[in-house]
Formats: sequence, C-alpha cells, structure tokens
Amino acid sequence: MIQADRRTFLKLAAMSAASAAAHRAEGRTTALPQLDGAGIQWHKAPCRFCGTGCHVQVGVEAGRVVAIAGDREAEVNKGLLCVKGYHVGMVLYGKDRLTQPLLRRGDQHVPISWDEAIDVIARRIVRAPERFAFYGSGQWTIPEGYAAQKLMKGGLSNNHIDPNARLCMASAVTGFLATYGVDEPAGCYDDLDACDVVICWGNNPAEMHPVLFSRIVDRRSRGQRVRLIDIGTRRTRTTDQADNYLEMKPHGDVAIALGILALLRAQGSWDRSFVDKHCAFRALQAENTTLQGEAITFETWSERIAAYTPDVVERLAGISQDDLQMLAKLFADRSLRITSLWCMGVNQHTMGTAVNSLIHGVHLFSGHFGRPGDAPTSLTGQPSACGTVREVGTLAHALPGGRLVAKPEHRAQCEEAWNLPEGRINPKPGHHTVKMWEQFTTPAADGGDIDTIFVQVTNPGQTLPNLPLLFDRKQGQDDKFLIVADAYPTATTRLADLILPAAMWVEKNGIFGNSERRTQQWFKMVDPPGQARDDCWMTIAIAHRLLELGHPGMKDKDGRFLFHVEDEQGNVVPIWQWEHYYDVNVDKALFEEYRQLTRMKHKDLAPYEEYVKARGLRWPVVQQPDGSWRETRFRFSGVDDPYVEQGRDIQFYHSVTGDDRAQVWFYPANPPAESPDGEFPFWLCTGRVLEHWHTGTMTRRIPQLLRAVPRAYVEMHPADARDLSIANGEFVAIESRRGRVELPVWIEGRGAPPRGSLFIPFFDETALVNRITIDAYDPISKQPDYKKCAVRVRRLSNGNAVR
Amino acid sequence: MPISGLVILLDSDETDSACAFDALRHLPELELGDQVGPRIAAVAVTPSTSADRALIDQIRALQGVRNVDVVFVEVSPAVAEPGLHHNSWLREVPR
Repeated sequence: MIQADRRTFLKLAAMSAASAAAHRAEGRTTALPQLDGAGIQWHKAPCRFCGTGCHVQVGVEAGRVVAIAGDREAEVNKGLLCVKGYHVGMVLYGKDRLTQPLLRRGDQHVPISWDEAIDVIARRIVRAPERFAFYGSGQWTIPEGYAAQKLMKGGLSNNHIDPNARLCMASAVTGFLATYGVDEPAGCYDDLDACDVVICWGNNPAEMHPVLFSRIVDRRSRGQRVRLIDIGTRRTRTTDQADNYLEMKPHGDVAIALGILALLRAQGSWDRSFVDKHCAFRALQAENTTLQGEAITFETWSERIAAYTPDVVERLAGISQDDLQMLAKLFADRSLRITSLWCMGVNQHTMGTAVNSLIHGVHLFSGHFGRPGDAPTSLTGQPSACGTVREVGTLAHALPGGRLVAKPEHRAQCEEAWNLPEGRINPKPGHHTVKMWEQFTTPAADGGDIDTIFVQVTNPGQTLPNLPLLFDRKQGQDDKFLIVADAYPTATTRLADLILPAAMWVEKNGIFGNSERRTQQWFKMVDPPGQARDDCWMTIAIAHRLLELGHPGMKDKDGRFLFHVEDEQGNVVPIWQWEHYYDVNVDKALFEEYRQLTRMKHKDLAPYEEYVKARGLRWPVVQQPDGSWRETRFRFSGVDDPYVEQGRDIQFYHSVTGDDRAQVWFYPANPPAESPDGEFPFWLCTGRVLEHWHTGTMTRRIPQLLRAVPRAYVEMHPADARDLSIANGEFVAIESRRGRVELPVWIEGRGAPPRGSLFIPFFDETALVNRITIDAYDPISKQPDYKKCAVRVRRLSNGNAVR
Repeated sequence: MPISGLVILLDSDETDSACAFDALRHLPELELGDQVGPRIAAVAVTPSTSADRALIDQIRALQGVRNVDVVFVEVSPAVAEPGLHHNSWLREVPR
C-alpha cells in the first residue's frame, strides 16, 4: 500500500492505471501496487453509457466522484476507456441537475413534496389503471426494470409497459427468437480476439463501440491479420480501418444477405454437414406475418433464394457482383473464423427481423457458428438493453426470463413466483412504443386509450420517430398527464406535467446486463443532489400509495405488499419510505427474486454476491460441483455451454421446431417504407457520434465533450452541395413529409455520405432530427426505421454559416 | 491542474517511433512511465481540462504516434469547468 499526499497519490493512480492498461494491451500481466490514501476510495462500476459494458474504477473523496480510471481487472475493456467513458464521472455534476419534484401549474412548474408527487401519480393510476402506461429504457437497472414490470403486470394487470429499447434492438430480439428460439447472442467479445474476418453490417463500431473496435485494431498493431469489411451506406471512421468498403444502397442489406446465401447454394459451397445436422428452413406464411412463419423444405428455400443472383443483388443493393462473390467466397472458406457485427443499421429497419434472421442464416448455412471467432453478434446501444429489457422482459408482450404474457403457462409461472392469485396477469400484450405514444397523443374522444404515461430513464421527446405525431401533439391536451423522472431537464420534461428528480449511476445501487450476456453489479458511492431519489424507490413508493388507496393488485394472495422485503431478523422493512430505502439492499432482494425466473430459457444467473466479487458474469452462470459459479462464453457450443448434451458439438436446445435445429430463413427483399422522389429527393440516415451518447442529456453537460461536438449538423456529399449552391457550414432546412429542422451543412466531415444521401446525428436537443424521421416500423418487432426516409434540402434566405 | 493517465501507442516504424519517443520526453506536461512493447504509460498534468485535450491532440499528431488512450481522468471540483445550462426554461422555475 502506498500512502501519499493527494496530488502525488492521483499521479501515482494515473500512472498505475496507464501501466496496467499498457501491459494488458500487450497480453501481459503485471503486479501493480494497490493504491490507497489521500482520502480517496476506489470502487468498481460499469460505465453509464453504451452497451459495451466497460468497467471503470471510480475514485470517491468526501462524497464526490473525483477520478475515473479504466478497470484493469475488467475483461471487457482491459483497463481502456473511450472518450465518453473517461469523462463518465462528470455526468453527475451538470449545473442544472433536477433536485425537487415539480408539478405543472398553468405554464409553470412549481416545487412540490415527494409525498404530494407520489400521491398525484397514484391517484392518476387509481382513476383508470388500464389507461396508464409505463415507459422505461435499456438504462433502467435490472432491479428498476423488474420492479416496474412487477408493478404493471403483476400488480395492475396492465401490460402497457415498454422501453426505449423497442427503438434500438427489438429486431435483434425477433431475429434471435426466429432463428434459435431464444434471445441474445451465442458468442461474446472473445470472438473479436479469435476471428480472422470481421464484417460490419451497417455498423460503425469505431464510434459507437470504440473499446470493442480497439480490440480489433490492437490485434493488428501486434502483427495479427484481421480483415475488416465494412458494409455501409456512408463512409465512417470504421471505413478508415477497413480492408474493404462495400457501399450499399439504403435497405440493400437484405439483398446482400440473400445474395450470399444464393451463391453458397448455387456454388455448392455451403456447409452440408452443419446444415444437415443443425438447421431447418423457414419462411413467412403467404398472408400472415408472424415471428413463427412456417417450415419449408430445403428445396423450396433453394428455389426462393435462387432469385437473388449477383446481378439482381447489384441492382437492389448497389454493391458490385465481384464484392458479393468475395463475401460468398469468405463464407465458403471453413478455415476462416468470421464474426459479424451489427447494431442500429440492421435493427432500425422496416425489415429488421428479416435482416437479423438472414445474417444468422448466412452464418448457419456456411457453418460459421459455434467456434471461437465464428459468430453472428448483434451489439446493443444501451448499458442494460439486454439485462433489463430482454432478460427481465420489460416489453409489452413479455414476462421475465424469456416468457410471454400470451402463454398461459408463462403467466402461471410468474403468478406462482410472485405469489399472485391465478389470472392476475393480463394475457393480452400491451401497446408497443409507437402505439403507446400514438394512443397517448390521440385525444380520448378520438380513441386515444392512454391518458397517463410515467417515463423513467429515457427521453422520448427527442428519440421517438415523427415527433410531431408521437410527442408534440400532447401539448394542449389537458386530460393527458405526462410524468417524467430524470436527472436533467430534457426535451421530454418540456411537456411533462410532473417532473421527478432522479438519482443516477453511482448515486444508487445497480445492475446492468451488457451486449455479451454479462451481468454487472455496482454499489451506491455518493448521494444524489437535493431531493433526487432512486427510480426503483419511486416505483415501490407508488405501489405502496396504491395499496393505501385500496388497489387490490398491490397485495399478493396472502395479503402481503407486492414489494415485501424483510431484514435479516425477519422484520418488514418499509422500503417505500425513502428514509428506510437503504436500510436493506433492495437491489439484492429484487435480484434474488428475479433470478429464480431466469432458468426456463437457460439464462441462469448466479446469486447477487457472486456479482459483487466479479467484473460481471456471462449467463448462463451455472454452479459447479465444488460450489463455484461458472459463466458461459459460447452458447449452444459443446466446447463451453453446460446445457449442451455431452458429446454434441452444437445443440440449439431452444429450437422452435423442438429438434435442436436452428432456422435458416427466407425473406423476399421488399422496398423501404419511403424512398426519395421528385419532391423529397434525398435519403436521410440518422445516428450517433463518438462524443455524445444518445440524446446528449449527459454528454452535452460534459464541457470537454460538448466542445468537441457542440451541435448537430447534416453531412452532405460535396457534389450535392455544389448543385444546390450550399457552402460548408451554411445553415439549411431539411424537410420531410412530417416536419423540418435547420442545421449547418458539414461537407467532407467525419462521415461521408454518397450523392443523394444525408446523415444527421440525433444527440442535439436544439435541433431535433426526429421531427422529420418516419414512424414506419418492422411488422414483427415493431421497431421503427430511423435509417431511411425521404427529405429535401432548402437553402435559408439569411444564409447564416458556422465554421 | 487536471491529471490524466495515458497509454501512447507508437508506430511500428522504428525511426518514427524513436522520433516520437524523443518528442514525448520533451513535453513538459508529460511524465513517461513503463514502455511495454509499442505502448508507453504516461501521466499528463495540465493547467486546465482544455489544455489537457490540446495536449492529447498534440501527442496524437506526432509523427510516430499511432494512438493515445486516456485511461484515467481527474474530475474533482478543483478541475471542473463551468457547467452548462441547456434548458433555460427551467432556470425560470421558482425554487
């Protein structure tokens, strides 16, 4: 242990973190001193931002976060961090933190007490429970999402709960379910260390998952050969590192995947052994678009796929026939290990379920599955989209552990686990996100059946597509009541009737689940400012107020409160009272209850205390004969998955056909919901930038990040700008059939769209690009398409320019 | 005076990386630590967070430097920059 004065200590800690990261990057271990002293204490936590799940060490001094270091013990990031990650401590200290409940009175928000706030919410719910909806996110911690889920489905018999993750990864879920019968990737980040080829499908990990991308680039710096293929609609920082850039037309990914499959089939270069042993074939029914579709024969599948010849794919997708042949040749080579990565480009798509399923199909049909480095891996954008949304099941149709509200046996299992009377859980799925907000903003007289929404940990006033339709219409409707819990004022709080100040990140206990099935725990380290409180506490306090108001759903069948928690002596702890909330570890109590529901789909979680010791564990986490808990890196693979029967190389043990086979799908390539025309001649794609996370409510309050990218812009091809006489930096209006936004043009900027295409990031609340995006969505996943709609560009008469 | 921990990745070209190493040694805000293969651990002490950013950009721009990873950042109040209000409407709310 080193004792030192504060400045010396911080310098030593910085050098220690740097040394450890340098050693780990070179694959070496080193004994480094455990630093302690100067009143600074260090604790582990996952980063607050994206779905990668990097761990940080948080330095706390006198009740305040004073330093952030990459966690050298973390497998995910091996001590490294991205530009957002090393600034993450500053998210707590923006000057405009919300610190007290605020109720709208007229055109003002006035402070009220927490008791009043909770009472207002409970009375809104009691008045019409079926007209209440809960809107959360993949930034909910697992206990927060679980509590919301239990309140809604177990307490109120109301399935109108959905998360913003519907907007970012619902199509990944349906793709996994359609293919394997169970959600989430079989592979993990270890694949990035073992693969020979990485294919990015409409994905820009250099900016969106930079720490994962650096794992690939670092391998190259050590002299290893990793071929990177970037399939995209615009050049990005990922393209800069790519061996091949295949520029496709928007929506062209469907045809490319079909074309690879067709070539493998036509050339006889698919993996016959793998397919014969492990695959079945499937397609949509002629007049019924469902997740299940129908079984088809290999011959029927072959006939349908044969239509996607290289010339057809070239016409539909815009990539050359040579490039398509190159992809097919790679997949035909079983000596290679190929990892596919994708995220929003594939998911935010009116054919999102189809593209997800087809990419899985390419890997399965070619046998590039189940060996380290051979994996179709979707990445998530939020820190707990997997843990809280997909595993806890905070979607309108889902229940915890991969269960569905529509299945009687699944409802019965949850009712038993929650000790509820039979029939408490409503069998009808609730409104998915787009439908929920459409109903909320539709006047009751016109059939709008939602009149109160409680929003936690997200910002739909900025992220919903077609904001004029799905959000802005709320304004002026006095019978609609919007409740928003957040840490900062946002585009959503502008229209809120009640604003609740929320604790964030290390101001509360938490558990996240990242993109590679890794469940990660942390403890509260500092107090939230003012009267800000935990989201989970809000949910429990509302439930208890409902109990006091006589709502029968807030009791189990033995008359106990829905969130009954006892201390070690067996005494009931009144966790609905803030002053007692931390008398026990509520996270632990909820997690232990939840994890009993995780085994049906073999998503087994270990006891809470195992996560306290670890930098996350990847499920299924199974207890060994010696009592220890073992995580799983490669699911369905006999080399690692404990649920694969002994002696089998691969077993898809949740197969929808019940025969341990995965499904290779056929979908026809259909056109997008909207394409450029004479009136709206440009494609518009939206997305993120490295420095800002989602809607920028946190990163725009970090001066270093705001200074790096202070505002949104529109990327445009120089020839298009020249044709329209637009100068670099000049403000233009971008208009669609739904709305308009004004932005400066960035020509040859960070990204480079081709002629006829524009790109706008969505982080900037002063220029809401979702005023112009389209609300069309995938018919199966209900996920909207933010990556393609038709717009036009108008010069502004005042011609203001920013440089 | 913010403190940052850096990992500087040098180019594989020996001449370029030697030049970069020499340039790094002469940056007064930088203290170099272990060199592990092509990577050097370092600590930067700068007058402000904006100077910190400028120093990192300066290092990145050096011939022979391939990448700079920031792995440690001080965020204590002593180095905090003025916070930013984005929602002026709320500042008018009576407290």
